[in-house]
Amino acid sequence: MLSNILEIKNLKKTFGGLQAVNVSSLELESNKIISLIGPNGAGKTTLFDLITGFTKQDEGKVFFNNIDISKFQPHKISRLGMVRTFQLTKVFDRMTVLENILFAASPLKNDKFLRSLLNSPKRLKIESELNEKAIEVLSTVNLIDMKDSFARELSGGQKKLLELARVIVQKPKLLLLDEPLAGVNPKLSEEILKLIRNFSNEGISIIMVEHNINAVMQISDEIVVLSEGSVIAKGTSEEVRNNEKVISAYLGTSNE
Amino acid sequence: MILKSKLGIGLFLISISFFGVYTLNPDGPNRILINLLTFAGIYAISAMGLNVHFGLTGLINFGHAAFMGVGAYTTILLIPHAAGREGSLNESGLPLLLAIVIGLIASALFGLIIGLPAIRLRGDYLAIVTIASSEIFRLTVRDQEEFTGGVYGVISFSDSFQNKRPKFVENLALILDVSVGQLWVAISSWVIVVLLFFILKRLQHSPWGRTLRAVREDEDAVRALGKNAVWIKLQSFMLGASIAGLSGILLAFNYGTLQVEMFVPLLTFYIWAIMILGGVGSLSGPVFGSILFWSFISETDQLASLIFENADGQQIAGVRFMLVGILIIILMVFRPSGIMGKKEELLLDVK
Repeated sequence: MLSNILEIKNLKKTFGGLQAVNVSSLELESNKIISLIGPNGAGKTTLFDLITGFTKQDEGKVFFNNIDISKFQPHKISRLGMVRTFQLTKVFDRMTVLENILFAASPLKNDKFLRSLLNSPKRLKIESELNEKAIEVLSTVNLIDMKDSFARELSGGQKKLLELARVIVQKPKLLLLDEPLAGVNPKLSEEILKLIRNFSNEGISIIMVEHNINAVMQISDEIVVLSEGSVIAKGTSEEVRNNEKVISAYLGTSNE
Repeated sequence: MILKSKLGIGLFLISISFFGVYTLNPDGPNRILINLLTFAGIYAISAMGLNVHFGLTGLINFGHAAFMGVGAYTTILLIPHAAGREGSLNESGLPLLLAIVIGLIASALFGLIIGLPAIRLRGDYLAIVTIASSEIFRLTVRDQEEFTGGVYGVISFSDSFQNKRPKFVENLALILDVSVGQLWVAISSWVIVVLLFFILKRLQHSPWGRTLRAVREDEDAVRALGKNAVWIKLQSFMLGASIAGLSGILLAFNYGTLQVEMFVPLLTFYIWAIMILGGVGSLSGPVFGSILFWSFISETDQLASLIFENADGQQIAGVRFMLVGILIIILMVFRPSGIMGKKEELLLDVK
């Protein structure tokens, strides 16, 4: 049951002289909420970029469900069921909220040029099914009233919700969330955390980068601490909280 | 009140333009109007292609003239024609429709060939690569005199097109007192404009069009959601290129001669001006933009003669540029999204 959804072996990336990521080994189990924390510049987002193919590693390998995805393009990785969000929310500003979801929900063969040109009854049926699905997802994130607004009209928090809805409609196996709570008010934070927990209960594995330590401690089954590109600790919130190395990484020096 | 709606403004501006044509040309206004409408139709088609690139997908293509040129040269050289200095007629050739289809495919392939290396580039770099490719195309055609006629161009190819002319066009030409050949080009162009409008309208809101717009908004998000952004951009490039190819073919039939100087970068910028005037991202924008643009172009001769006595070509061209510039400035101030564009979708803020 507890198989590894993600395995990282000897993953390295340098920018100029800076060693951004240097993870010798990291194994993450499926069906968990795992948080990736660490001081600014610890390489959390770079690690996400490496895993999802947006940045090419210098060396090392990444396995997703035992498939070596180290050389895959981002869209190939996403199609395998590992979908990410971004630190700076990336919604399609000048498309409606509904269209944002429809784009994500639409299967590849539905997007084909000739299909769209011919506009067969079959395609229209698929489109109306997609519509229902999209509306369902939008109601779970409370954006149903905004469905015909342009995404650029949403507030920062609503954009985060939209981004979540957009990835969840694809029914991923593994969700990588890059700071899902950044710049979100406390009430909405609660809501987003509840959503993340629901996703997890539905069987989606979750890895998230987050700076809100309270939220992280509250929600995570496991916490991985990064510092200067390397994993310095891994364990439950209790274990991590009492780890000497973690304290020193956050505070600079060891606390007596 | 009519000026409250976009369509109202568009029709109002066009009425003024046509009124201008009639008052400035007391003798033979029909001839001038048909000439204007022919060019407007052809350029509208081209701008519709550019709009697929820029308006729908956000690709900055400054080599549009070359896509027009590839379509025109491929088709014209496949039908009976006379090329080069000697200009001996090459009687053998393909049927017109087949040649046009091949021309469109050639344009799409040219788009693909430029696109493959270039489309991974960010917006402004793509612009540089496309303008360079279009000049490479033009200079290559100029130098390959054996096939393309080089600087001497291609002539005597219009028959294939004019043979297809139905009888009613001749009667209509007599009634209107205009050139029958040009009237046939005009009618063909506008039929294509209408067809293209409905095809693009269907595509824009289809799942395929949605992927194009998503790429325009954010490529990384497209990739993260499992869609191949590069392939989406290439498809957009090919579709826009073959639409441009079609307008290039019509342009050749309108001139009755094919000269490589027709496809200078200036042509690309005229098409851009039309798209911006009409409203980026709007499907009917290119049509309104094109009519307005050509009304200005065709009336500048008269206006230039108001400023200069016996204006020569260079002076007219100068006035022309000045007026188009002023027109765009005025429009950008009062209607930054163009005549038919939506304010929410104003697309001149290139990332």
